[in-house]
Amino acid sequence: MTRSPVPRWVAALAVAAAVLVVLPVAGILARVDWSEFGSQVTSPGALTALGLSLRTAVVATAGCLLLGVPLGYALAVMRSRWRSVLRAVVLAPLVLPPVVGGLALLYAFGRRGLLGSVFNHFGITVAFTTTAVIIAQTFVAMPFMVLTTESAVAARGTRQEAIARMYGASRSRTLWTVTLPALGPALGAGTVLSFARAIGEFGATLTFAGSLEGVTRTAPLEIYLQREIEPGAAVALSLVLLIVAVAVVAVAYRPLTRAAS
Amino acid sequence: MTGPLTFTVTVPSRNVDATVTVASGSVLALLGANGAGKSTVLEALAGLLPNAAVSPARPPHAALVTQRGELFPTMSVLDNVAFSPRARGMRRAEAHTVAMEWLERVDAAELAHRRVTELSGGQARRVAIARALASSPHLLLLDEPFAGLDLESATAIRALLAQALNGTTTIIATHTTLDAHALASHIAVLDGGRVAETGPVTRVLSKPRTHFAARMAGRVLLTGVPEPGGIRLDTGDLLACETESVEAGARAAVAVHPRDVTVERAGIADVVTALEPRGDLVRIHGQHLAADVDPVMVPLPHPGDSVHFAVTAWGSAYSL
Repeated sequence: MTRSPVPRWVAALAVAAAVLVVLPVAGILARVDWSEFGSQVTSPGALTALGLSLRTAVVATAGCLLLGVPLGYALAVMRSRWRSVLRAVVLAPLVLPPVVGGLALLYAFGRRGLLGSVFNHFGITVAFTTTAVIIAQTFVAMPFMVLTTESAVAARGTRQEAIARMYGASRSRTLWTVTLPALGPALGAGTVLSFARAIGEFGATLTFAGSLEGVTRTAPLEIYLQREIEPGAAVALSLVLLIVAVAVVAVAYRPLTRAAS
Repeated sequence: MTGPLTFTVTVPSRNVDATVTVASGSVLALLGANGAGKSTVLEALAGLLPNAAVSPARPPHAALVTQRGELFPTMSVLDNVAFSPRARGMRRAEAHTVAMEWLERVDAAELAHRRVTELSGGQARRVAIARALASSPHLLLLDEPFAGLDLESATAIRALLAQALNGTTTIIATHTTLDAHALASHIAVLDGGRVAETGPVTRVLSKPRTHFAARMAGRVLLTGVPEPGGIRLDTGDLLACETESVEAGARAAVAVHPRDVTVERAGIADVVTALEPRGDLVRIHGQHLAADVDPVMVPLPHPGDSVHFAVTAWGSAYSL
């Protein structure tokens, strides 16, 4: 029998940590009323919320790809001393309380916000619409895309790009044929993580988009609402999101574990 | 483009300031030890070093084959070779035809649909050469193209390069005189980031003018002034040799191969600096000369010992 190099007290703390995470999951599973589960997750309210969550999260993830990848790339190659400041600001949504994020969005895109007042002038309202849900989700999820892109670009350097340029490729051609294919695994991981963060978004959505059924009431908001009206339905819907979250993490981290082994 | 191409490469951060000239359509060997700055010169010419200055201007359409090959890992072999034709506007099918022709010329056609990550070192080198040649470079830059290959692959690739270059203006960085003899017409000897000596291959290797070039050619340079009957070496000894081709009043040199030097009781006095294994022989390095000796026959001295070298064969002396 091989002796583990891990001290016993470290192993004990690791077990405690695992219990802390596993126990709540078990708690949800224990509360699910399996005979009612099918009808609970297919009730009109639940289906509407899940459908809205799915649609908005997909669009938000696409937005993260479109905007987060260029930002991560720029952060990786820029040499300005402002880089660390810019990175800190851009990644702030990662650690910001979602409610604060929602308020910030309201003051930017709300009716009297910085950009919202301009929109309002043209008769466009953003706050408390499905668009607001998407903006809120993109806001909180994009740092994942920025982070994975930046670290992948920084890890591989720009040598391949210099060689492509030597062989006469334009900057755009180099991006499409050399850079993006090489970033593939990182972009995949970033996409999955962004999607997971978007579909779980709650606080910023509630603050900035409200909770209108079919318009802004996504699955997490529905769960919070049902928790008081019909706890069983809330638990069933929670399980659905739990399964999505676990599946997403399993998919997203497969390349990393494979690379390590 | 006709006429010689001359470039001055300056990279202060790497202490490189070298001027190289390569005749259009010919091959220049950039000969130097590790760390002499060969790779830096080539990378600068290829435009891969951001802080390098090249005057009068960087050559347009240069293609560098680096020691690591550096193929695009996400593409097939064929797409790698077709990359430059595609980037310069050729249609996909046509570019693939061109790429296939080059793969055939470097004897790698069967690798066309492989992934780059599946290639051996020798295969990757062939593909990298094909990718560079397929870009129709005005200046081809090869950085130690045979480094790290087994003897057979190196010989095979050297032979196909000799054919494939075919009028392509080329600079090939190498630390072996074999590559210079096999592929190049001219040599530039690089020492400490500067060109120490340049000229036709046979001239530089048989009649080197600097100690460094002589060492790269596997010889030792003895210098002195001509005298009736030979050369009065800088060590004070007289080396009897043909001095007809030495101009009157000029300094003269003889390039001696260490295998033509023996250790004797009397002769050119020297102090041993180092011993170097050379196959079944040992090269005894002195401050002025060196001798290859058979350690079975000759007791080996220690560094710092006094020895006497005798030169047993030499060519005629030449002006410096």
